[in-house]
Amino acid sequence: MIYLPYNIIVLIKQILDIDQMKTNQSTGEPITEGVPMRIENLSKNAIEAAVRIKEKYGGKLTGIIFGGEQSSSAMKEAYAIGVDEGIVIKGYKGKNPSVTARVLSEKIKTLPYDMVILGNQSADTYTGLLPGKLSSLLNVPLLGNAVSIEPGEKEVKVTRVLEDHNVILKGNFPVIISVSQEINEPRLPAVLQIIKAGKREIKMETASVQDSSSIKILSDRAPKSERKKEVYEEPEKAIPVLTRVIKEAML
Amino acid sequence: MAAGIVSPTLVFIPELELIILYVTSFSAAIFVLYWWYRSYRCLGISITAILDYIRKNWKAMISQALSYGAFHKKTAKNAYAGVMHLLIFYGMLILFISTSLIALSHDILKPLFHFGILTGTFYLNFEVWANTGGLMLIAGLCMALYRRLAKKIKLESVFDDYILISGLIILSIEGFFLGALKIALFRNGFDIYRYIEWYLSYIFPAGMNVNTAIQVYRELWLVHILTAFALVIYLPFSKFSHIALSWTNVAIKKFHPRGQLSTPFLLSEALETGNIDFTVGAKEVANLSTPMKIDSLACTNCGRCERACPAVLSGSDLDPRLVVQNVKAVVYNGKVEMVPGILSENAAWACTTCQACVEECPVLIDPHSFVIEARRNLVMENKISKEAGQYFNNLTNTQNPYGNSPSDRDALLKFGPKYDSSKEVLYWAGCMGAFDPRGKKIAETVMGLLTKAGVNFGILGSEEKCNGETARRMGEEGRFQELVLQNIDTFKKYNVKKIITACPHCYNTFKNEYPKFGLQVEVVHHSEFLAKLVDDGKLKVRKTDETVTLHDPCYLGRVNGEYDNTRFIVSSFGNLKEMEKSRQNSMCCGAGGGNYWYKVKSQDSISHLRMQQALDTKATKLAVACPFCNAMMDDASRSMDAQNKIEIKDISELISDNLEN
Amino acid sequence: MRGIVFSDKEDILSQALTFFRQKMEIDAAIYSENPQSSAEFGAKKLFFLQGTGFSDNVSDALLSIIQKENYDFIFITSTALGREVAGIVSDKLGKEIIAEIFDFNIDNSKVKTKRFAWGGKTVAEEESDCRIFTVMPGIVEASKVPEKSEVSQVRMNDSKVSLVQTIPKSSSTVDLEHAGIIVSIGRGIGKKESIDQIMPLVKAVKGELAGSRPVCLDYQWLSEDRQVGLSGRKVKPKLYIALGVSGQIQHIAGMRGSKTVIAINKDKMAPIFEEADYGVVGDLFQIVPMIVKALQQ
Repeated sequence: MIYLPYNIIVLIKQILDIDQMKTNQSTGEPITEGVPMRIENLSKNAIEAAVRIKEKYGGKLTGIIFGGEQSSSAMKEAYAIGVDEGIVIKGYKGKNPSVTARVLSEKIKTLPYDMVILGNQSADTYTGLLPGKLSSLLNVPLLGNAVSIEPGEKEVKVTRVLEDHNVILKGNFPVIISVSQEINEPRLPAVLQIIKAGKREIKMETASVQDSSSIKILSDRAPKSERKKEVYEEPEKAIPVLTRVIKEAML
Repeated sequence: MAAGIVSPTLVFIPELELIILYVTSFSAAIFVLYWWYRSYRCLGISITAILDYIRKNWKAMISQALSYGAFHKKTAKNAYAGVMHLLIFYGMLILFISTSLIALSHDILKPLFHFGILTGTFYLNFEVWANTGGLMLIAGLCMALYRRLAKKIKLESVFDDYILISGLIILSIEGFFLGALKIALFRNGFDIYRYIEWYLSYIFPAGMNVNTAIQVYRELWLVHILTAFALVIYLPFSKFSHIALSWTNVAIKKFHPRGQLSTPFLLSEALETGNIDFTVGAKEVANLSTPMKIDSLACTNCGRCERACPAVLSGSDLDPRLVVQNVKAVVYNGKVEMVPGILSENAAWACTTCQACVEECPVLIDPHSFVIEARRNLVMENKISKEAGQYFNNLTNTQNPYGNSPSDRDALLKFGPKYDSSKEVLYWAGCMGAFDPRGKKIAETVMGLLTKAGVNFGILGSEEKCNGETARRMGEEGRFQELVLQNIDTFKKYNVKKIITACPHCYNTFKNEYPKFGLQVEVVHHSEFLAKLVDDGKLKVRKTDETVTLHDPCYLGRVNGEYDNTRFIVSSFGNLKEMEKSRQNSMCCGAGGGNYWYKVKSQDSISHLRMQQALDTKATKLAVACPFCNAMMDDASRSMDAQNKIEIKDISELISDNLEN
Repeated sequence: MRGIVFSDKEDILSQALTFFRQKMEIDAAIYSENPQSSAEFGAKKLFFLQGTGFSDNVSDALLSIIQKENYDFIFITSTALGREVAGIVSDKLGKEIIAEIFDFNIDNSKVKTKRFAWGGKTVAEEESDCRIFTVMPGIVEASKVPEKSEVSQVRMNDSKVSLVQTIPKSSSTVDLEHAGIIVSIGRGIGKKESIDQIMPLVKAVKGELAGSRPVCLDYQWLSEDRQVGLSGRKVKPKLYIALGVSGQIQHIAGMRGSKTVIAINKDKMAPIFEEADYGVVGDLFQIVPMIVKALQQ
């Protein structure tokens, strides 16, 4: 086994807890007020993957969040999982992957790194564009959708999950690795550990962001269901109907 | 009675042997005393601390020693083992007193003051007691031997146990034969008071050679003395160490509500002072608290906890007896990790915190507290299962175990009004009541009954948060206390005076755990509140001829001692048929201590075992009083294909189903 | 107006081509081992990317085609590789991109698109000048046209990444996307062993077994390729039978295209009933055997 200290940058995203978000009953519009923020699940996988590499081979873990005022709480949690140094870049205004990629790549360029690890998608928009954009901006190869990472002396081997098969790839450092949910089970720090980690310093920076998007939202509503919604509370009455429907579908 | 009645003790024993006797007995007594002291000294307890403790607590110590020691308050719970232990205990006690009196009379008073106390009527009484003591001891020991050889119950038998039992039987028989031989030699009429030895003496031939007989007596005496001292020396290393250590444990035990776990830190204080450099839980045996270490020393390996433990019955690898015994084995050094040294990770999570072990232990050991300390450390080391992690995550994000949006709790407002200061009682629906389909129905039923009875109640809707019970029992003290602080703020905001809970776990937590964090309100479980409404005639229930069996929830029954309200409700409309395991002996449904939310490896499922016990009663309904028991039993009846045989109903639903109008 | 669709999955490519050929003159580029029928879905030109492709060299090849052909619109289907390529291509072109669209219309010079937002809870309809998009799989059902595409080969450069090994997935027999009937289980089934009680129904309807995210990912009662939802498969069977599925939006987003939906759940408040044509409130373990029995008669 090779023991090398790696410089790892892990990119952490904080999102609105969409599981708790509701839509307005009459207009169908999202109600974002009062909905708490959380670390996006795949970011936790990314942090966990990085921490495991650090635990096995040694190294330094720098976490970067491009977010807002609330992001330091996410960074405290990241510290509790095992991030060594945290940078919070304030100025996040909206979900524009180009802007996010630009801000993050500019910061990454100022840091030494062997691997940049991030989640392959995020649960709010599922765009999955950030890994590609960073790879292009940093001119660094992307090893995407990883379910295992084995770093070596000069190169890293990654198992990549595709829709119908998996492949093992390798690339020379530095690389960008996007991880898939199956890569690991992120550890859950105890509340006391988060409080302890919260005493460590977080570097706060601000990015100036101009967003010149041409995208105009025409509407943003919960889709209306056009289902029949025939609901039976007595199974006996439902059985003949269900049997008919199933038989029709089997034709 | 003739004045010449005296005990002819030790008449044939030469001086040299007597000196040996004195020397060895004094050294043995000192050795045993020193060993007792050393047991605590090695845990870091000084003699001054012991004396200081005795000075402050002597009253409680005497009363506890008498009730749990002398009067066998808990030991006698089990009939066979109880009688057996009483016989051995009192047999030995009587013989100990007799021997001490002999020593006092012959070895101290006679040589120094030239008079004895074992004379006259007192002596005759003394001999009757001494013979009875010996008989009791032999009877008790034979019961013990039979119990082990017959193997009717699960009982850990090691070589040590057989040495001890047979050693003591031999010792007692030697004693009887010595007495019998002496009677055969002198045969005084009053010797008949030594009623066993008297009849035994006839086995010695009447015309035997006196010198040979004396020689035999001397040799037998020597053997007897050596056997006795061998056993005394052996005492600290054997099961008999409990004579000293268990008695000490029951005497010094500090009682607290059974439903209250220890508080390793105060989160509010830690956040205020910023001092968070304390360890939580026990990584190693050394990290256990001193009372817990003393607990482990008291363990006699009797196995009562093991036979009551649902995790053992289900075939998981948790065994409360082994947990305590394993701790005991390494308690002085302490450099053994709790997991996996004392118990496996799976075992640590298999405990349902049902406290059957706590109920059973005759010497007041709390085996389940060892598991909690192990879990606390596992949580701090992030060694938790995926499901447990998901559970904690949901608690943090949404303050309920499901990860559902907190605002979904407002759906219950359809069935009951929002709490405000004009309301008399707060109905606490709990997470099951708010999110579980079956739990929701029960909450709806209870609120319907409260409304019908004209109770001025309200609910908190989305202001309700999990009370943290399960987090605490899963060892995540920080998350528990976060929720405690948030809920207490809500109670204070509304000036809540009385809470009715749907769930025995909520009930126990508010009643026994929250006071430590500053909550002072009256808490009742809905079974108690509804029983009162039925009793007062505010809810009228009609009599049916249904046979109903009842499952006691651990946290209502065994932990809080409430058995009667649920029984009153069942009897108000139906015929109660008790399960074999009921009341304080009730068996857990398998959900407690977090086990509802994750799965551990075991052969059977606890809920299936319990369901079978319910089915064995042939009752057509199973009354439950806890939403978790409800869910577990429901699941078990489905898996066992018993849905047509027995219907599972909450106590509130049974009232509602049988309302007169 | 001309556009190009890129994909590394033939079935998804054919769906996207079926959709976009009605909107504009469309070409296609595919990176696939052995493309069989991609030429039959109405693409005018079809480029086969050849070599071992990863995000960098596939993007380079695609960019060279785009520069040569000067397309107005670029559509990349949303697959693991597609999303990476879309990120690189949009960055290299310096163009704004909208991801995961499932509807597309041109209105004057503006483009109107639809995509799911907030984790699938809402649909965002947007107007923009965007020229590059990633497209959700299954946008429409694929249909062939008589004319075949004009095929040309494009040799890719070497990637900076090298392939060590290909590992075929063991259970790739699951084909939820094309299943006629899907029986889907949720957390409500309680435990893995209960799946045995569902199987008679799956067999009786000759369906495929699927599951919600907790069932497939969190508890792993089913393999991950059986997960229906925003983060799993997006399915559109003739009949979707949801058993003990509460109907989290995550899940709904993956089955919304189903023609008919049956839901059985204990909780009458479960959101799945809002998404069902026929709902039954009750214990699925009682109801399922009743259905199986009724079907056998």
